[in-house]
Amino acid sequence: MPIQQSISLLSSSSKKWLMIMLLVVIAPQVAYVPLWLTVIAVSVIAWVGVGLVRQLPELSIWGRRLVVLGVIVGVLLYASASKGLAGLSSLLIAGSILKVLELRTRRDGWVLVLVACFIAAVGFLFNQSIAAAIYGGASLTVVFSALIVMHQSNETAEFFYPLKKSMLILLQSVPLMLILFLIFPRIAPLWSMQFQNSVAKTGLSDSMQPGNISQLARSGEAAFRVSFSTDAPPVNSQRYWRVMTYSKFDGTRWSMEKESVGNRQVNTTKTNLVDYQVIAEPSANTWLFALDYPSGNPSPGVLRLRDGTFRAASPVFERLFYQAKADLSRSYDGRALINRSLYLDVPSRGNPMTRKMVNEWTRAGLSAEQKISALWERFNKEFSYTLSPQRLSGDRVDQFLFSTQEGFCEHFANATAYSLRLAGIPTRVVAGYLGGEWNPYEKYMLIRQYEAHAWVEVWLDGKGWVRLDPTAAVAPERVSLPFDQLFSDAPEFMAEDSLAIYRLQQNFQWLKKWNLRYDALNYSWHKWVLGYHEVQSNLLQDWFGKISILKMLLLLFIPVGAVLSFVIWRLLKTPYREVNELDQEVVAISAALAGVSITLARGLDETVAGYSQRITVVIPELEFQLRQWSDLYHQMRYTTPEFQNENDTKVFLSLGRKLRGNIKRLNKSEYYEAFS
Amino acid sequence: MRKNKRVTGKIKSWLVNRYPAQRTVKLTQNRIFILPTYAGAAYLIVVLLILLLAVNYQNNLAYAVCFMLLSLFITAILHTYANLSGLNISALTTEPAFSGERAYFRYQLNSERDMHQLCLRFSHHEIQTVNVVANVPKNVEVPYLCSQRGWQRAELVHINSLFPLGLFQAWSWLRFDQTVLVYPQPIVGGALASSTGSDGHNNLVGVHGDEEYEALKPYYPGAPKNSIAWKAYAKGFGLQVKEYQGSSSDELWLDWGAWPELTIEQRLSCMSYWALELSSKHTPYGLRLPDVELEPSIGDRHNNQVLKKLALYGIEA
Repeated sequence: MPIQQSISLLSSSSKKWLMIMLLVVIAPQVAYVPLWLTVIAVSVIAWVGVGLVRQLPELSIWGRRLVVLGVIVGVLLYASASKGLAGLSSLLIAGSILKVLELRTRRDGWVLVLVACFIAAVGFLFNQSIAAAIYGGASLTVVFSALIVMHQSNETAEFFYPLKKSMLILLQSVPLMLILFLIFPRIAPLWSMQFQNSVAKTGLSDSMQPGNISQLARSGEAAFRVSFSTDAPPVNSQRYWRVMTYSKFDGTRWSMEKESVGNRQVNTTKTNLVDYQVIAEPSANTWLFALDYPSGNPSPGVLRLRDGTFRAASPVFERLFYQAKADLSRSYDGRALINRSLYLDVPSRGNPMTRKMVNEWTRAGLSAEQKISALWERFNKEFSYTLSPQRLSGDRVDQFLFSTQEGFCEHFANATAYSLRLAGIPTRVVAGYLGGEWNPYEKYMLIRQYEAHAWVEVWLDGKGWVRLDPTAAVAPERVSLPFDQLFSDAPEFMAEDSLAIYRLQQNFQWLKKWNLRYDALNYSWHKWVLGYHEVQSNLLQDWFGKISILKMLLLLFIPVGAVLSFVIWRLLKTPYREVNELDQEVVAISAALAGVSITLARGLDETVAGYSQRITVVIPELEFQLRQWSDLYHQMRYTTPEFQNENDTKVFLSLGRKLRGNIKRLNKSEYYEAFS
Repeated sequence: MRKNKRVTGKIKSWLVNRYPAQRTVKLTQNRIFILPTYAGAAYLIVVLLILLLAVNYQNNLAYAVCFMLLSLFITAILHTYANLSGLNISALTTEPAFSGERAYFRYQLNSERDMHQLCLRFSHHEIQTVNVVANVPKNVEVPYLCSQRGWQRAELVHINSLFPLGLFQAWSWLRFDQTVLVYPQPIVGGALASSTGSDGHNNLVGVHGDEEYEALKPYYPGAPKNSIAWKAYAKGFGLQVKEYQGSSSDELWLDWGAWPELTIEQRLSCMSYWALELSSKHTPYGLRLPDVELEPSIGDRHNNQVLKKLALYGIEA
C-alpha cells in the first residue's frame, strides 16, 4: 500500500522542526534525567541545528560511534541504578538523541516523532499540574507541526503555516478526545508499578522528638483538601485532623505502637455528624487524615485503626479520595481502656524536677482534672510559644518546664504527656494538623504542611479519651487564628521563600483572593481531571442513569459523527469568492434575460460589451439602455479611480433596475417562440 | 511476489472495468481509496503503549494524551481525504517520444481548494510531486518509459497524497483516454547512400562558410539558428534564413531498400537515427517506405511527418 515512503529524504526545514520538537518535548524532563544526558542532548541538537544553517564538518564515524557507545553505556548504568520513571525517561531521551545523529530519511523523522509523543505522555507521570497540561498541549502542537513539515513541500515558505495547521487539526480532534476521556472505562492497573517520584515530602514523621515539626512548620505545600457535605466548615477551634498517635515513649522519643485495624463500630444513630470528603496529596506514606473524632468507617480502601486514625492500604503515590464522618462532640461509647500500662509507660529515671512537681501534686491529693489544670496554670503563667526554641538535651522535659520555657506544640505535648503519665493518667500524643483555609469559591478547605500540630489525649475514667491541647493553654490564638496570620510577623516563619507570599498576602488582600481562586482552580483540576477515574462511574451514572453499552455507544457515535461531519464539511467547502458588486449586477441582468429565453443568458466567455451587443440585435428596443449600461460598467470597472464619479454606482444600479423592469415587461411568448 | 502481481493484475482489471477511460476525471468518494500507512500503524502502536502507561499509572493526563492521539488519527482521515477530493484531472496532448525513452504524459490539475504534495506516477516509474493552488490550473508531466514504437496508450495513473500528517495515504487510479506516438528508437548504423551521387554522403557533414549563402528565405520553424540572417533581422527585414549553395542540389533519401541485411525494426531504427541526424544538420532528405514516399524537404514539420510514418509503419491499417 504505501510506496517509497521511507526513501524520501528529509528537507532541512523538516530537520529544523524536528530539532525544535525535541527541545520542546525534552525541556520539562531535564529535572528528572542526569545532567550529563541533558548536556549531551543539547549539544547534539545544537550541533545538528547549526549544521543545517551553515556547513559544519561532518562528525567522523569514530566520533559518532564514541558518542553512541558512551550514551548507551551511561544510560544503561543510570537506568539500572534508578528505579522507575527517571530511567525510562532518560532511556527515551537518549534514544531520540542517538537517532538525531543519523537523521536522514523520512522514516528517521517518524521514529523521532513517535518517541516524542511517548516522551510527552511520560512527562505527565512527573508533573500533572495545569501548567504541565497546557505545556503538554503545546508540545503536541509542535510535534504535529514537525510531522506536517515532513509531509509538505519544501518550498512552502510560511514559517507558521505548520503550527496553524497542526493547531487546527488538534482542535478538531478535541471533541472526540473529550468523549473518549469521559467514557473510556478506567481499568485497574495491569501490573503493579513501583515508582517513587518527587513526592517523598511529608508533613509528619512516624516518631516525634522535639524539633521535627519545626522544620515542617515552614513548608507551604498542600497536605490535603477537604470538602464538607454541608458546604460549611467546622469552626477554627474544631479543625483538629488526626493522623497518628504516639503511645510508645523511650525517654526522648515518642513513636507509634502497632495498632490493629479498628473496631467495627456499632452504628449508633448519632446526630450532628460531620460528613466530609478528603483529597489527600501524594505523600509516599500510608497515613491519612481524620477529623477529630472519627465516627464509623471511612469509604472502602481506607482502614480505620483502633486509635481513631486512618490508613491507606498502600503508600499514597497518587492523589487519594475518601469519605468519612466525624463526631465533633466525641461522645464516649463506654468501652474500657485496653493495655492501660502502655499509656503509663515512662523510663524509671530522669527529669528529677518534673518528678518532684508531680509528686507534689500527688501529695496534695489532686484529682486527674486538677492535675491537668495545675499544669495548664504553669503553662499560662510563664511559657511562650515560638517557632525557633532553644535546643534541648539531657533531661529535656526538665529543661523545657523549668529553664527555657519556650517552644511549640511538640515541646508542650511532650512535656504534658510525660508529666501526666508520671501522675498516673493514661496519655498518648496525637500528631496531625490543626487548622485549614476555607476556599469560598470552590467550597473546600486546604490544609497545608505548616499547619502540622501535635497535641495530647488523656484517658479519663467515665469520659474516655479526651483531647488536651497544651498549646491552646499557652497560645490560644494558635487554635483560633489561621497559622499564617498568627506567624506572619515572625522572622522564622518568613525564612522560606515560598512563605514570603503569605506575608505579602497579609498586605494585599487582592493577592490573597487571587491565590484562593488559583487554588480553587487547582482543586477542580485535581478533582475532575487528575482524579477523574475516582469520580467517573458516579458522574456517568448521574448524567445518564444506568450505564449500558448501548448508551455508551450512542454517546460515542452521535457527537463524534456530528463533529466529524462538521469537520469534513469545513474541509470540502470551497472557499467563498467575493463577487464584485458590478459583476453581481451583470449576473442579475443575465438571469432576468434568461427568464425571457434561455438563449439570452450570458455565456461564460462572453464579455459584457459583446453580450449587450448580442442582446441589442435580438431586442432592439433595449438598445439605448443597454449601451448606456454597458458603457458605464466598463468605465467603472476598468478606469483608474480618478476618472470615477462619486455617484456612478448609484446611477449604475438604478440603470440596472430600470433595465430589469423593462426586461420583465417584454412579451415573453414573442421571444420564446423566436428562439425555441 | 508472483502472487502479489496476480493480485495487482486483478485489481487493475477491476479498475479497468469500473472506470471507463476518460479525458477528464474528477476525484470523488467513489474513486478515492484511503488506508493507514506503515507509519500510521506504528503510530497506533505508540498510542497503545501510552494507553498501557495511563492504565498502569492511573494517570488521567496520559489517558488524555492517548485519546488526543487516537482522535487525531481519525481527524487525519478526513484531512488526507480532503487533500484529494474534488480534484479535476484532465489529460492534455502529449509530445511524441522515442522508444526506449520517456514519454511525458501531460495532465492538468485543477481544484477549488489548495492541495498539497500530490504524487502522480505510472507504476514502476518516477513520481512527480506537485502542489495545487486553488483555482489555478497546474500542469504536470508524468514520465513513462516507452518500449515499443507506435501508439502507446496511457497506463493507469496512480495519484496519491500523504498530506498533512502521513498517517494515511489517500490514492486513486486514473484511466485516461490518452495516447502518445512513439517513434522507433534511433540506432546508429548503416551508411546512407545519396540517390544522386556517391559524394552526397560526404557533403552532408560539410560546414558552411559564413557568407556563402545563395538567397534569403522567410523563416520556418526548425530552421537552424546559425542560418538565421541576424543582420537582416537587425535591419528590420524580419526573420530570414540563409539558403546555402548545394543544400538542395543533392537529394538524400532514407530508403527502405538501403539496408537489405537488417530486420524491419532495425531498419526503422536506422532510418529514425538518420532522420534525426539529417535534420540536425539541416539537410533536406526524403523518405521512401514500401507504401509511402515523402519528397525531400526540411524543417520540424517534415521531420515529424517522417518519424510518424516510421513509427506507424506496418501498424496503421
